[in-house]
Amino acid sequence: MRAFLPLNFGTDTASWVAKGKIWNTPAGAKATRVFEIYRYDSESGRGPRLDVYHIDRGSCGPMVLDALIKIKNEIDPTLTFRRSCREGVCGSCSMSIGGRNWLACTQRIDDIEGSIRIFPLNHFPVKKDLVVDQRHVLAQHQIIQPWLKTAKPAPEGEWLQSPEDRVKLDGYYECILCFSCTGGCPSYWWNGDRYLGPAVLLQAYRWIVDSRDEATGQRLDTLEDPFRLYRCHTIMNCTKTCPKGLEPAKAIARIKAMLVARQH
Amino acid sequence: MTGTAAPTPRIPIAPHMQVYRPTLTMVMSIMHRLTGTALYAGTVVFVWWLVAVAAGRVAYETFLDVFGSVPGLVVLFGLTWAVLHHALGGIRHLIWDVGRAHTYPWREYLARANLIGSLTLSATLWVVFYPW
Amino acid sequence: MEDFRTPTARARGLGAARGGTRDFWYQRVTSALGVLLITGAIIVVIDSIGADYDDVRALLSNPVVVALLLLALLNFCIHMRIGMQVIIEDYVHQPMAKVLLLIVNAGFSTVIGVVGAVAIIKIAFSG
Ligand code: HEM
Ligand code: SF4
Ligand code: FES
Repeated sequence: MRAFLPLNFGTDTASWVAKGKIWNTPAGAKATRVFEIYRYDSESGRGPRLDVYHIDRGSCGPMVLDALIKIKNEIDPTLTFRRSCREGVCGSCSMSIGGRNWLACTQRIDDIEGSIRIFPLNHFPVKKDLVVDQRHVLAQHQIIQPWLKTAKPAPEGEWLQSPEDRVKLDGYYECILCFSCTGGCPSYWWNGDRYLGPAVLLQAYRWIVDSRDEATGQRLDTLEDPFRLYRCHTIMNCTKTCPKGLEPAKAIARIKAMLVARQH
Repeated sequence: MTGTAAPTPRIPIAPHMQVYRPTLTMVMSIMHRLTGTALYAGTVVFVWWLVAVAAGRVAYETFLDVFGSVPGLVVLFGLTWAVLHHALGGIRHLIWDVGRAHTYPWREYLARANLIGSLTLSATLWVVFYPW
Repeated sequence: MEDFRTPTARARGLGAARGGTRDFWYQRVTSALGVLLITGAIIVVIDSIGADYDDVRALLSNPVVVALLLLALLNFCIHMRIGMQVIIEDYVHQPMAKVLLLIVNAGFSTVIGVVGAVAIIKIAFSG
């Protein structure tokens, strides 16, 4: 049952962020940077809070992820976040940094002025600190069946594809499913329970344009829905915030155009 | 593991609108929606005008009195800007819908042209055509 | 009330409605036509500035103007009904309130269109 206003309109007191703890400045630091980081621990019995950390820039690596690791190692071992590759290919470390979503491992500290505010990916349910619950968005990803679907049995070697058709996947296959775009989409904030969001729709398009796939029509059927697809109002936050430089809004526009084309 | 069954607190949702740095295209999207809504209400003014002309001289004079007053003129100027802004914004949407101008910096140029265009156009129309 | 559905059940929901394309398409068609029609309508309105009552009547009974205004009215009533429906669906999630507002929206758009059209036709046929 959905509430009268979406929870997320700010009426949900469980999500309010309180002022948190201010951690001491490290002794002997020359150039310090201030990090304000969202903290939440379901076992504390308290709501989310914003902790303030001071980092010695001189003894810290260049990226925001380096600072998070430094805090965890040297200041506060309870700080929780996801990371794996630390080079922008696994998609684990996406979060809200300085008012937009980016990968902590590819966001330079020095590119942000003033205090650096870090939150979990916008609007996702929070498990702990910067770790969000992705079960819903991953279930949405399953809806679009992100694998090659064919009626014909697999050939001996490989499925062939012309270079021209292969080029059509450029700008779409590179997606690392970090969900920066989905977290930054206002339509997903208000209607994420039904709207699939930019990341999943870009993935859907990646399979729709794949010349080897034989389920194009069925894929379009799955998307043709006022909420799953048409909640996109081309706000463009997705394209602007994609840390891989992809254009989810364009993928979505292409899907809409194909749905119109098959009507006439 | 302890066996205490503490009541699970409601899971918080990560902050969104409060912490997202406004982007130009996002602001323009909101303005497209606001101007669309203003025009929705503004159709009443347009239909009032038509009905007043159809109804006769007295009704028409009343319409002129209401919309010749200062608040009336403010509404009319607001609607002028709203219709121009929304129409230009609509063209912006049509360009994006056919997959053009998604890439930086073109999408920003489009959004900026939308705002600057609507402001200068409505100012120009009023300066030229209002019987000062 | 606790929701024990699996994430998959929740994400799939009621499935795809196989709809929405028509409204999307009509919104784009009425936008493109709207650019022309609104330009015409603005010219008519500007033309009426400062004119006295008889001149305005004469202007509004010109067949070209009558056709233009009728088309514009039809075009934008379709356009604004779809547009406002999208806004309502975006923000209003309580089922009863939503259905009620959707009906009010359809009603408002129709009434605006019909009343406006009757006025235009009346002016057109009474000189
Ligand atoms: C040349 C004139 C116009 C053009 C090109 C135009 C274009 C558009 C487009 C493309 C949209 C869809 C935006 C989206 O997908 O998010 C839209 C939405 C809308 N339009 Fe227009 N429009 C025009 C005039 C009007 C007029 C005269 C009205 C009112 C009578 C109006 C009311 C609306 C409303 C209420 C919306 C919904 C706004 C939203 O979804 O955010 N439009 N318009
Ligand atoms: S489109 Fe970009 S922002 Fe979105 S999930 Fe893929 S890589 Fe991340
Ligand atoms: S740690 Fe893999 S993308 Fe940042």
